[in-house]
Amino acid sequence: MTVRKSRVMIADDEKHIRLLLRAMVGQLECEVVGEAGDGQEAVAMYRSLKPDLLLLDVNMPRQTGDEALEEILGEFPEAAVIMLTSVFDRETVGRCLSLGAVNYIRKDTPLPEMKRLVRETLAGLATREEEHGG
Amino acid sequence: MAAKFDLEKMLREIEEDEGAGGQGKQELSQEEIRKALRERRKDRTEKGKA
Repeated sequence: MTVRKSRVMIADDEKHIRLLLRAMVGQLECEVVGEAGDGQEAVAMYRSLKPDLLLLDVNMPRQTGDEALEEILGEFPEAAVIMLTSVFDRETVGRCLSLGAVNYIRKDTPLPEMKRLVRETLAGLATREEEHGG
Repeated sequence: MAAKFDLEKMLREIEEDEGAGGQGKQELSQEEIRKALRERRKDRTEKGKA
């Protein structure tokens, strides 16, 4: 039986972070289908790729991650977006969770814990799909 | 559009539980974020049942 790998997209303006996240996603046996370097690119790329999961930074040029999140969820209400960021003030976290981000991970989280949180989120998404008959 | 709930109020309650106060630009720990997510899930489940 072939198990379909989850398709993950990464949006972060820092190349080294994208590299790190790509390596982490690979370890989770998921496929990285695209990388965006700013918020606008993230929205456009999301539209064309429709990944299973988007890892989205907040502080990015042209359009911030929370603005991109609002645009993506406005268009794709079922989109699964994890905010993965160094911004964790109450206002931004609250805004992103209210908008519908499926998880919010601090970038200073140790890698094993970060992996666990992403894996946990992916498992939750699989359950959601089953419940919706996907 | 995702259903809104009073996240601000809930986060304030979490901070009070943690004894963190609530002034200025309060940063949240991963554990506080986890609690907020749990509360949101609970809130949505309850709204879904209603």
